[in-house]
Formats: sequence, structure tokens, C-alpha cells
Amino acid sequence: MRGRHARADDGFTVTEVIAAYVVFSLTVTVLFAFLTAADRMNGRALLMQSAALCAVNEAERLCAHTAEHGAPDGETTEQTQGRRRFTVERRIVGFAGGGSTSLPPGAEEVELTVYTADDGMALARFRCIRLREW
Amino acid sequence: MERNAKRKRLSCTAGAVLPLVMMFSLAGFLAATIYFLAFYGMRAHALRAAGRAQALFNARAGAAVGLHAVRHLSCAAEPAGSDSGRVRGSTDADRRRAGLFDGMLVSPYTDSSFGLCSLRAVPQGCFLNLIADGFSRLQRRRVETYIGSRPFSGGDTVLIVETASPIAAQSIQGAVGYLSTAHGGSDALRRRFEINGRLVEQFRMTCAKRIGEALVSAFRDLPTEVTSAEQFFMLQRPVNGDLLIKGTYGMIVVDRPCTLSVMGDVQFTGDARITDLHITAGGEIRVFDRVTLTRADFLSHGRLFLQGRTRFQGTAVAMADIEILHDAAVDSGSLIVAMPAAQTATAAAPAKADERGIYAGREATETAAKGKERRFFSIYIRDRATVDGVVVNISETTGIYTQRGTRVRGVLWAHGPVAHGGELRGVIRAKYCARADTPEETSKNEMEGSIAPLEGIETFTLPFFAGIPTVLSMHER
Repeated sequence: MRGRHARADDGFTVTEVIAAYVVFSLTVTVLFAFLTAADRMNGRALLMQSAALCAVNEAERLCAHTAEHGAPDGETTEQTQGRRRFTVERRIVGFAGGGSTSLPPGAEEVELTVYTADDGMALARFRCIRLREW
Repeated sequence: MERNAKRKRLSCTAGAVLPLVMMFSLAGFLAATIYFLAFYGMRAHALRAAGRAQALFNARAGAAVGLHAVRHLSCAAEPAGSDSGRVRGSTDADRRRAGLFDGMLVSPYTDSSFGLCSLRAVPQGCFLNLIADGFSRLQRRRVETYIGSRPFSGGDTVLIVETASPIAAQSIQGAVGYLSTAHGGSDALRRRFEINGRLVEQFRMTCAKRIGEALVSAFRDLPTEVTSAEQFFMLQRPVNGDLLIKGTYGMIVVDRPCTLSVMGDVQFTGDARITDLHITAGGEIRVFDRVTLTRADFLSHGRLFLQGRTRFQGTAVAMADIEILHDAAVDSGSLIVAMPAAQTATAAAPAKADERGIYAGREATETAAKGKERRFFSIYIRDRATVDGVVVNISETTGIYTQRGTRVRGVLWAHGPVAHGGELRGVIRAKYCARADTPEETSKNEMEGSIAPLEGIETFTLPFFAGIPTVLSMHER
């Protein structure tokens, strides 16, 4: 870029400025991308954690309700985690002797799907079993 | 000269923009990476939450599958206590269920993409630890289920017998249940009072393994004497010979958990107060005098004696006879199991009673061991002994004997005769009831002692191979 006998008070070349500008732009882009990804990941992680909590709560409720009163009424429940509301949909997908042969008699295979209550976005699907008694 | 140099430094504006930009870019890149990784680290558990929840569901489902397998493992083995251990009538399903003891992989759902569960059943003492590891999206959760059995608590039933003869007894407060179909014994009732031969075999194998570990040497040392707590913890393990714990010269107090494997006999004498002691003995275990054992876990390849003013609380399993006599007390929640070896069940000679008309325990054991007589009992509760817990004899040919003056609170479970002469609050399960001096009278149901119902009998625990296996406790990790 500069001559062999360049003087100490030489200015910047256009090429050097362009290269610096490109590097700076790339860095800023990557930085923003990282920050956005981190933010999105943070939000997603919180949602997934809440969804998992909702599913575990629903499974516990299912277990306790079944032990005392049989299968619970309704197929969806609403739950609140922090400031968010979620909907948990429950669906029986299998039963003992109906394909999943290893299930104990009287057990049902239940699929739990967790949605956000506001926009109905499906967050996660889980499978668990419902036992009438241990 | 100096002025020229200063002027040169001031006017030095050589291009450094690229290295500077590179440096700042690198710094920014590093900062962003750290920020991202820090967020990831902080939220990693949250990102794994779904996988962990599914893994937990899988483990729970696996535990349910395992419990079902244990409950429905065919008990088509030879009658419990006949000791042949031969299993007949095995089906594919049975073989699959039996694989539980070696570890098996189950897919609890119709869609295997939700993960799998690894199952393993490990007998721990008289209980079964069912370990279910659920896997999903690289996550693993474990559910440990302790399986045992609970006594039958159907109304005020205090006595369950197999034979159909009516009971000749004067002091039975409560109902008598019959297992025979002729007397209304249903399959469900019979299931509650049977011993699963296959599970017994697993239990035997575990005991044999534990004892095998104790019998590690072909050379037997001189008896080892322990006279203080310090010596207790300095014992060379395993003990290749007999172990004598003597509290004769001063009380031995041990309150730390201690596990011992002893090749020969173990004998406690004098004053001792020992907590959390686990002993596997290749010979007999004898507890005399004023020894107090709390949370003990004993496994004896030979006989077990609790006598004198001994207090025992815990689990004791003996591969031969058990005698609880004198003023010995078996305290709350204890479980005493006799698993005697093959016997001469068809010998023609009648039982021999001593001069007091009581069928002798140790003497009878010894004579029967010589093959001269038929033995009718393997567990003897005599003199003024008290038992608060569950006493099980899994042999079909020998039973349980309780002498007048003894007090039992809990369950006496035998597949042979029960000669009950003491006081019992709880439940007796027997093939038939007999008098102590005529135990060979299989056609009658006679009882000299008293039985009364006990509230809260369902809180007692039976071994996993007796009755219907059920969940005693469950831990999720």
C-alpha cells in the first residue's frame, strides 16, 4: 500500500479505508446477529422451560386426578407461568394392548401439546402415560 | 536535534486504521461471543428443560412397565420353599419380564421418537429396587422405585389358612379367611397370599452372591474378638473366620454405619448398642445378653438366634432356622425372613416334643439335619420374646411356632403350619394351624393362642416376593 520509502506523515489510502470499513461492517453485523440470537435464545429458553413446567404440572394433575376421580374432564387446560399464559392440550394416543404392548393394563398413552395462549403457537409435545393406579 | 525529533513525533500520522479496526473488531467479536456463551450457559438448563421433562415421563412410564412385569412375572416355579428352583411353564412374555433382572430397554410409547427407558431390577435386602432411566434428546432422568409388599388389610380378617377345615380356637377376634376355593377363596385373595417362586429365586441368588463374597478365602483364621468400638472399625475385611463381639468388659457403642462380611459365625455377647450394622455371615449369627441392634441388616447362611435381653430392629434373613427366645425383643418395623434349605418333608417319624410338650427348635433342627425326623417349624418364638414386625417363612414344608407367653404385633406369614400359642395382634397366614405337640395334624386347624386385629396393619412391609408387589417409595432424580 505504501512505498518502500514511505514517509511517516503519509495519509490513508482508499483501499485501506475500504478494507477497514468492510471489516467494521462485518463485525457490527456479526455482533448484532449474536446479540439477536442470544436474545431469541433467551426468550425461547424461557418459553421452553415454561412449556416443560406446564407439561409436568399437567402430568401430575392427570396422575392425581386419575387416582382420585378417574380421567379428568376436558381436553385442554390453561396454565400461567410468570406473565405468560399457556394452553396444554391432552390427547390419548394409545392404550395397553393397542400397539404399545409394554404398557401395563389400564394405562393410556397421552400426548401433551403445549401452546402459547396468546397466539396459539405450538411450543412442545410430550408423551406420558396415565395409570389408574400404581 | 531534540526539537526535530519532537516535531517528527507530533506529525506522525502514519496509517493505522486497519490494525485499529481489526483490534476493535476482535474485541467486539470476543465480547459478543462471551455474551452469547454466557447467555447460553445461563439458559442451557432452560433449553434442556423439555428434554428433561420428557426423559422424566419416560422413566416414570418405564417404572410402571417394570412394576407390571414384576407383578405378572409368572410364579410357576416349583412351590416356594421346595427349593428346587426349577421354573416351568415359562412363556415368551415371562422370559421377557425376567429380563428385568439383567437390564432391559423398553419403548414405552407407540412413537419411539419420544425416547426410551432402560429398566433394571436390583434386589436390595428383602426389597426390590427398580431403576428406570428415561432418555430423551440427550437428557437422562432416573426414577428409583422401592418395591415390597403390604399385608392384606381386608376388614377384620386376622387369620388366613389354606386348608378348608374349620378353626378350633377360642380366642380369635376377627374373621378367618380361607384360600381354598371350596370356602370361597378367590384367585385375587390367593394372589395376595402367595409367594412368587421366581422372585424368591432372584432373592436367593442375591443372598447367595452376598454370602459368596463373604466366603472369599479357603483358609479360616482364628476367631476375631472385638471388645471396643475402635476395634470394630479396625477389623480386617472380610473376616476370615468367626467374629466375636464381646461387650463383657464394657459397653460397645457403635453409631456409625458399618458393613461386615464374615466367613464364619458371628456372636454378640455382653453389653452393646450398635446402629446401622450390616452383616453377611457365612455361618450363624447369635445375639445374646444385652445387645441392642438398631437399623441392622443381617444375612446369615446358617441359623439366627436372638436371645437373652437382646433388642433387634431391622432386617434379618437366615438360610436356616431362626429362634427368638428368652426376653429378646424384635422392635418396630422389623422384617425377619427364614429361607431354609431342602428338607426331609416325607419322613415317617412324627414330630418330637420335649418334656414340656413343646416342639423343640434347636434340638429338632439338629436331629432333622441328620435326616431322622420330619421338621415342622423353622422359626421359633419362645419364652417371653416379643416381636413387632413381620415374620416370614418361605418354606412350604416348615412353619412358625410361637410359644405361650410370647407377644407378636404384626404379621406371621408361613406356607407351612403355624403353631401359635402366644398373643398376636395382626394377621397370620398359614397353610394350616396346628398345636405345638401335634404339628403333623394337617387335617385340623387348631390354635391355642389368641389373635386380635391390629389397626394400621397395612403400614407393615413384606418382602417383594410375598403377596402383590407394590411401590413402597419412589425417588426421582
